[in-house]
Amino acid sequence: MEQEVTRLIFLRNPASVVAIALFLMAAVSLALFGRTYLRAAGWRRGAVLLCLRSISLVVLLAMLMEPSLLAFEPTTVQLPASYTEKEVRVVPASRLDGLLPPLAALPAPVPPEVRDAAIESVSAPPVAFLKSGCTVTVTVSNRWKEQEGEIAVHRLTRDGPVEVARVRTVLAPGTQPVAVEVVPDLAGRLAFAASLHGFSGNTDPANDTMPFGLTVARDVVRVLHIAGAPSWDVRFLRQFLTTLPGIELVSFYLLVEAQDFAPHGADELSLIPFPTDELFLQEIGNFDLVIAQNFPLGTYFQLREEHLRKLVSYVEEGGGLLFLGGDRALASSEIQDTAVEPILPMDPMPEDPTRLYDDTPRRFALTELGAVHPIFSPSIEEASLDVPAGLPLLSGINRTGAVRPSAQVLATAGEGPDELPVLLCTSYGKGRVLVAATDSLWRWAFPPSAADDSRTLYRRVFQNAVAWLTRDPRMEEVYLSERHVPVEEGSETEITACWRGTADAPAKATMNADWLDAGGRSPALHVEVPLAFAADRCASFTLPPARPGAWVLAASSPDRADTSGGAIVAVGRKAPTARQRLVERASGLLSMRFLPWVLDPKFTASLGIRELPIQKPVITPLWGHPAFFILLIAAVAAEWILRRRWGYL
Amino acid sequence: MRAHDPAQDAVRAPGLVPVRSAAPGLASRLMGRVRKLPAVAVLAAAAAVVAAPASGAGGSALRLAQIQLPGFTEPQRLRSLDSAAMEVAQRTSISAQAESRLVPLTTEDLYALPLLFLPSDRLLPQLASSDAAVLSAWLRTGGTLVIDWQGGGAELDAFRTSVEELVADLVPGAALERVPAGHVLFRSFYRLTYASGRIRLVDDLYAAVVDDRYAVLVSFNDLLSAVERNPGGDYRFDVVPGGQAQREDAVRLLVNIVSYAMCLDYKNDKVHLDYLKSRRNWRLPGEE
Repeated sequence: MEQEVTRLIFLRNPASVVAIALFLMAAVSLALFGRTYLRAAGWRRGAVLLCLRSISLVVLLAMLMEPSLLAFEPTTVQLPASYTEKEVRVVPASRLDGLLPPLAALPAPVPPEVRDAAIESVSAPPVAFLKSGCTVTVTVSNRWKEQEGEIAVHRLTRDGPVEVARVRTVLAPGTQPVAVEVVPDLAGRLAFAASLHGFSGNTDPANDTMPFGLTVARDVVRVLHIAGAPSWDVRFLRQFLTTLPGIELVSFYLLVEAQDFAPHGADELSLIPFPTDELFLQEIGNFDLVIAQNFPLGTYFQLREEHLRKLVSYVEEGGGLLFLGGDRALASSEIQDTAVEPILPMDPMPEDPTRLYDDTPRRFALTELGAVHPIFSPSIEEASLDVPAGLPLLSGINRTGAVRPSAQVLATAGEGPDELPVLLCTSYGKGRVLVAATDSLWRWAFPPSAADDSRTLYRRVFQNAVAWLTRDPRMEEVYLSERHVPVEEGSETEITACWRGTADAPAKATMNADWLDAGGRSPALHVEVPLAFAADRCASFTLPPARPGAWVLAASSPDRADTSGGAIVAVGRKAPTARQRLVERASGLLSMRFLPWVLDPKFTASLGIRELPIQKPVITPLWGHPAFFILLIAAVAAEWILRRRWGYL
Repeated sequence: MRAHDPAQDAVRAPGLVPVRSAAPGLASRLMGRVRKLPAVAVLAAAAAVVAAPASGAGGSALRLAQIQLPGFTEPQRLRSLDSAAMEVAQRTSISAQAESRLVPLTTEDLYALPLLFLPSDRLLPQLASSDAAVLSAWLRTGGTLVIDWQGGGAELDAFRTSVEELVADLVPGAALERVPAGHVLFRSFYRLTYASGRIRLVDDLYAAVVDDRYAVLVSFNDLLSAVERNPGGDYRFDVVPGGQAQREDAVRLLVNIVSYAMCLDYKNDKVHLDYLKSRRNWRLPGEE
């Protein structure tokens, strides 16, 4: 900006006592010794010495009077709102209905300049992945000229907001989207808030923050796939898993058995020893899911009891186990009485031990519970997976014993008395176990071309099974009707929670709701809402009114420790009323202000002046400038040198 | 042993019962330890396995089959396929059943068999577009077709051309290519250096890629005849010029083809490559 500056040199201390004393001493000195100088040194030399002495004295006097530079710089002073605005109620609200709005509108004496930047909305993807960047689009409106500032994204916690992203941006006038790259550092349902910082033309801090929720899933699911032998079931599952994004697959298949016929030396094979100790004792904790496919989980192979106990602890501590059947898996008695047996959803041994594996083709059918299980019904909004009519039959079924009380049968094969459970699941500790008592699911992945729907079913079932076993937040037992649009501050919010777990809904369940302030200024608020599931397995509850921030909801039940489910409900600022929007649009259209009480009896009267221009004085001292000292020293030194040379000292 | 007589292949060998894999639960040794047995023991073990009762491994067990193309009278090599299934069952942990059969292209049975063989001693026919579409869909869904040339060297070039034309019909845009020596197919179970067979016309395998895997494999060395046994357990055809060593390599190649069809690129997993390189000072061709 071009600035007009007025400058003036003045003496800050013209009445300095020292200066006056020196002036008098100099005058006396010159009067007394000037004549002597002239007589002794002659007219010319005397005049030179007197001039030098006079210069020294004048310089010293000038310094003592503190000459300074006075300048005036134009600047503006921001006036506090209490000086310029006042809330006025012109017409009582009770009498408003009887009034007719006047037709005329008066222009405001000074069209006010509106300066503000505001976050209108935040758009986040439905699911983000842990430690992988996701783009959050912040829509910002700028009601001023182009201005530069920062947009920050904070994760809201009970201990206050934690910054996770910040971008610098230049806002053009108008509304525009700004992309912010967020890298979530935690998995689960998380609350965030986007906020504006450092924009010079931003006057209303109330609209600078917008909360939003984000479901963060693990970016990579580490899967250990062990198989007792190569088979078509193994091949098609491997083919699918290797194409599934976000899967890090480590595979070990037993390619030979000890009694296999072997006209070859070990160096002629490309086999490696099965790393039993490394996998089961050392590395198993690094996997999110273990798939044991037609694998002989007994103590007769290389596996010892300690390996199996480690597998059980792995599940107990939250790992997932997908147990796929076959002629080596459950069709053997060795798994009985091992550490693994209790974590299975059924007794592995059927009533008739001579009929362990049945290859009679059977038709697959979902049970009532299976149809609503997350594997077949991943969300309330989506339709359940359909079992196509032309689904290939299952031709290899493991007959098993009684289903354990804590387990659920999701699907069966066959009909009537010949019906066999084929898909069973249970929870053990913090982990989950899913058993597919068959090795012919591959037929779904390799169907006659007319029945392509079965390929879709195969992919969806295994994709959902992996998600459910690894406790993907999208697969929790308690599913809430999330709100993707923030609820309005100060209003109650009704939420529906539906139970879709593996068992009947628990008798007692609680929804723990933590309200977190978007700006981190207020302490967190904790509310516990009891859930009463109705016959349709759903329960409704109401969240109390809250200020802008986010509700973090998490279900729990004393009856079932593994109950999980939750949601993020963002609480946004109050949307402007239709009346306020009308006033704003009319003002913008006509570049004038309607008398606000015409449309709203309660309004804020404003002087329209937010800044006061002033001439700010700036004083710069000159007496301390080095030139004064150099001149003084030079004059004294010159006089002394001349007097010495001429012999007057 | 007799000379190669494809006409006799039309009759399926009597007395063969389904081969089962050895019963699980008996293994107590480390998997990597393998043993060498003399030839007599080989035959004894084979006979014992053949005589064993059928396994119930019906869901995912390996059954080999020969595809029957419309209007094409290719030689039936079901006995060769049964012998191949036996070899696979005896040497590997794969559950294989010697229940080989002919599968017409037009039936849905095609989709019960992800691995099919097409032996031929004559040029391959040009398929009608509807038939080509059926076979192409089967390949794209996940099937693997092994074409085995059983003729002599005189018609080899013409046969190769007919294969290329068939591949162009089945997999538009894909060309028949030589399988590199370092490909996982040559180490899916055994470590092999060439493609063997009853004869040795071409030391390479050729293949066409569908969805990053070899869906069509072509052998020019009469691979199936090299493994075929008669009901007495003897090999049926002479193998030239390499004799028994060449036959063993042919059996190993068949085992590798089956392993590749069932495990895909499993042996390309980093953990396997690292172990093989460190333990045996082993290098892939082209590596330093």
